[in-house]
Amino acid sequence: MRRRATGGSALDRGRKLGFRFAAQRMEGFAGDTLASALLANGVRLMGRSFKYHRPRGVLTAGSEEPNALVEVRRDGQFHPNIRATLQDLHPGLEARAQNCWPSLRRDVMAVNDLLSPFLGAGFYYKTFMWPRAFWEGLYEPLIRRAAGLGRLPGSHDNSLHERAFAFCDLLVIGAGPTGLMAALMAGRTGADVILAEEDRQMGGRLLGDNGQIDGVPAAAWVKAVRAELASLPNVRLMPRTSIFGAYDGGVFGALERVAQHLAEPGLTPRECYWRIAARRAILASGALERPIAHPGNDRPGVMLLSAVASYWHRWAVDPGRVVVFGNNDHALATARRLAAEGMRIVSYIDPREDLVASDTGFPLRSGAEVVATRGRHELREVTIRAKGREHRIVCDTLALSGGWNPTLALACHHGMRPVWDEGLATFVPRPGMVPGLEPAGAARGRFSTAACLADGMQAARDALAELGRTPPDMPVPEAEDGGYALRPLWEVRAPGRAWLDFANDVTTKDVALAAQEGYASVEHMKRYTTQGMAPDQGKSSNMGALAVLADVTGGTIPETGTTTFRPPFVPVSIGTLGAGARGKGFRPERRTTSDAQARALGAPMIEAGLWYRPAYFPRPGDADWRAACNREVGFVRNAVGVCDVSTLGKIAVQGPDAGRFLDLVYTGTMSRLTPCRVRYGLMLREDGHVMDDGTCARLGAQDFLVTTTTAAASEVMRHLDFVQQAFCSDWQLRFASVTEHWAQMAIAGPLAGELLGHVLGDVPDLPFMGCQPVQIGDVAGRLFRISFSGERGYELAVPADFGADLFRHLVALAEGLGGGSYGMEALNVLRIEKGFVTHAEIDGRVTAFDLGLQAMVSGKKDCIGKVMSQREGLCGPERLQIVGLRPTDANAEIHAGAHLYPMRAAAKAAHGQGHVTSACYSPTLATWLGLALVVNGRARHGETLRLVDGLRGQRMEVTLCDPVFFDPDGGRMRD
Amino acid sequence: MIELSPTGAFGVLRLPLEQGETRLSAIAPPRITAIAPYPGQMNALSRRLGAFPAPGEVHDGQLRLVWSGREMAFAFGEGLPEGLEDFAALCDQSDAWAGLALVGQDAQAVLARLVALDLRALAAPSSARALMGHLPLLLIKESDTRFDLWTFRSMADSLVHEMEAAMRGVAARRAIS
Repeated sequence: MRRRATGGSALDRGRKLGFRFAAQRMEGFAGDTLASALLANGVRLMGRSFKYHRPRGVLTAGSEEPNALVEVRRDGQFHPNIRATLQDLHPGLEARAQNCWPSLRRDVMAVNDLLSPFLGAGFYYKTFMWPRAFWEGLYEPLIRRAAGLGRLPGSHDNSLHERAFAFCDLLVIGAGPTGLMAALMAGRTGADVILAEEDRQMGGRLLGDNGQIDGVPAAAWVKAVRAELASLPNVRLMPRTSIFGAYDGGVFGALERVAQHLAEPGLTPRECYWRIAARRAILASGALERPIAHPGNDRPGVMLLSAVASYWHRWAVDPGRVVVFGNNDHALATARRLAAEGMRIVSYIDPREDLVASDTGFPLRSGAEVVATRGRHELREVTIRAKGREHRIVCDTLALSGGWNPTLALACHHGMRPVWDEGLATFVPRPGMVPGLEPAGAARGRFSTAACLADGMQAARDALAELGRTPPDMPVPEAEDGGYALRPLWEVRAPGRAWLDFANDVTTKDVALAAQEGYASVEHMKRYTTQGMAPDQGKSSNMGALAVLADVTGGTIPETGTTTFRPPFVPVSIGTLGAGARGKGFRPERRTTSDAQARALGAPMIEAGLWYRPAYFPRPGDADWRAACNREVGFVRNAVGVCDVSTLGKIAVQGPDAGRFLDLVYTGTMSRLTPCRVRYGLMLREDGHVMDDGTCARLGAQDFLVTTTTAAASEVMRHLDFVQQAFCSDWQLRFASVTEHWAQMAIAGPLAGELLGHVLGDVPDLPFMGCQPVQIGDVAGRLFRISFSGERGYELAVPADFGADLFRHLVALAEGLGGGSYGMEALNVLRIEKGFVTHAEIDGRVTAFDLGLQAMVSGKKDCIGKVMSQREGLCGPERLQIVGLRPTDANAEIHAGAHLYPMRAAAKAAHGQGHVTSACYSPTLATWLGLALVVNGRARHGETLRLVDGLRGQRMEVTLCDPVFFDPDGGRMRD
Repeated sequence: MIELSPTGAFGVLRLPLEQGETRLSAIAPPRITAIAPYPGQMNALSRRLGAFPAPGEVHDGQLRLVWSGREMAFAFGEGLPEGLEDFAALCDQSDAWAGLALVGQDAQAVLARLVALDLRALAAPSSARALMGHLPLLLIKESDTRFDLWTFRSMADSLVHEMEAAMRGVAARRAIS
């Protein structure tokens, strides 16, 4: 650690930590960041630039870092684009440089820098125009490979991520002097306060300035305030937390780095995505120092003055011989203080002509500018120009200070623009830009420590008043209150490239070129040059770029304006945004009470909405799934089959007006249904199309049970809620979903009654479409005589606690009768054989007329959707109507989605006659069957069409027929 | 005739779970009756019940009455007064809901990972409807360190999965702090 000085407030010198960077072993101390440890080890070359592959070193000491992006490896995985300034050192940390090959020092793609005259802004828009097909196949992959912002790992991100919610009275964003005072004042009132700080340490600028507050070193003052805040139960300190977005209703997005600094994180999440709802918020995010655009300002060793001071004070990094290039009084004062503390400042360069200072401890050159830098991989010397003459100064570090920009992005997230402050030569936020969020301190241009402390207290007072709390009587701590005079210097005019945006390799010439080519608005310039579009979002370049643009377009800076500030303020990984939504967290799983048994029987489960249902029940020797399916169809057609149908929606509709209500939502008349009877029902949407079908059972005079399809259960529930609230809120009825309370099993087949006899003791004398309460031992259940298979069928419902055991008994009994359980595949075959529709047919575009169910729309009453269903175009021969399909060759496979055309017409959309909605192989009829929607289909039974399945490359001849293929008079299910 | 045996909602799931400072256990299912007063019948119903819970309220008496949604309360336990049918729709929901008790010093921190509710603002006892991730949730705050969490029975597995992940994360954080 040859660059390590004594001191370092952030360091624990008792704990040395080993780490690796670019395949080299190094040592640092606990408390180091990767950037500080590298600097202390004399490493200033940390990466290669995005476009020209120029050597780059660290520019800043915070999250705004544009250059020092590294790849951090852990457990065989790596994370790209980690800012070395935010990565705390831990034992065994392994980091690699990005965007270089074969090594950081010898990067082949550095040839791009030699080609830079040809690679200016927008070069690829103009260069790679032809041949057109080459863009996607050749040019874009090449450009992407050459350009670099790290690389993707290519494997799943196995690290743990977390999301969380927090609520508070006051959110204080930033824990510098402003934020600490605001939090302290609010905390003392008992208000719930969250103090979020991006750094691992509270204190902000005070940690790097080494000033005095109330007569004690600022670091000691910070420590005392922090200790008091930590002792307050109503204050939550959130270090390593960046507030990245201000959203509606006082909600802020925050990114907490939880485990990135740990050598062994165990089960600790890597990052946490917080959504913080705050009644009030104070933006105390401080200000960012801006660089000066001069030729060669991107060389490793060129840093911001504030960063040099931070590395010196916090991490005892000795920058060697330092040239300071500043344009403001704060820079000069900082240089004086650093020199007094022993830093080797070899020269202070300032463009201001009239600058006079004595006893500085270093040579001061007023009216001077840096016009060039030298050094292959790192800075060796700078060239300055003063009074028309140039000369060189040998140095290790060039510290830039072009003034300060308030960190105001969050205040602009609701679309309001900041205002220009001529005295500070920067944009400042206005009050009220985000409701409930007020900027304070340096974030609104109050730059001295004393002003920040006072402003933090005032902001807290204002917020507390709005929260109905009385602020405590507190004196403003005494601190430095120096002025801040500056002469704006956006660009040093001299030969060579002067960088504005380090992260995206944008120079002052690129901005001028954009304006020259007509992209003179700031938003167009941004997109043409990509300035401000890198992970740092132009934090150190936006101001300079628009100043240069204003200059070349002849406008003023406020006239030129800013680009739009959008969240996130700092990069947020997709893994963190999607925390919790991986694997089983992606969406809930709904499981029936028989789920475990079905899985134990080896049934593959298929999704139906959120539910999981068994597809089929395989047995040893089955050639394929269809063998199982055919067997299960046979159970139902020849003996008895059992199927868990609990997933169908069940809604209890109760009350004196329940029947009247059901008449309104169903096409049929349910109010005339006698108790213990069931009716098939159709519900229409308001636009007249079919919403869902199902049954409606009358359990008592005022007690109905509506069933829905599995997938449409919530849609129907929502529809009923809407109808009731919007059209008949005073009717005496209520409804509730009872889907979850009842486990319901279908028992279907010629032997269904016999099986039921074993379950209930005797076979109830229940007519087709009847229902009645039943008793199974101590368990009260419900029995329905309904069928979705075309066979004699029952559905037996019991409270869900008994569902698993009922299924077990039913399957055993069915197997004893030569039957067994059947899954969704068999259920589908059975219903297609009978021409029963599902949502494969009810696809949102069909009417009752299309399904051949127009007779179910009662002519004696009105219902939701009835009038609209009778509109022209919804019930005529031009409609697609449901038909059955039989292939001429019984073994020709039909699949849903295939299209139908006249026999001698080309397979073009203009000739389309309809499409297949459902298809299966029917073991009962020994042929493939299909259901289809065909233009004027009901009048075309017997006609032959050509089926074309473009997806599978199939073509065949099919004949249209009645959709009911099996037992058309329904005798098997009625008798 | 067959005899049926019951299986709880969390039958095959490993409960109770302990992670750090929190414990998650299944709640023995009580009888749950949904009570939804008909329009204009709220006062008459309240007189017979003693009181009908307003949004967020939990009334403890012979029965526990828990606000459970728009114009609906769940009665936990046996002994519903006779004759309520004239004033409200009554519906047995005993087997429809699966309940877990989350107990411990970090209970609020665990829930903060899953539920967008300001738990500070809730009295004890009180109830709230919310989403837990994507799961529908009826939350009952018993105290600052105990919360009862009810969701649809079919989602019991997902509920335990979500809770376990959140508990694990909070326990791991505690271990490093």
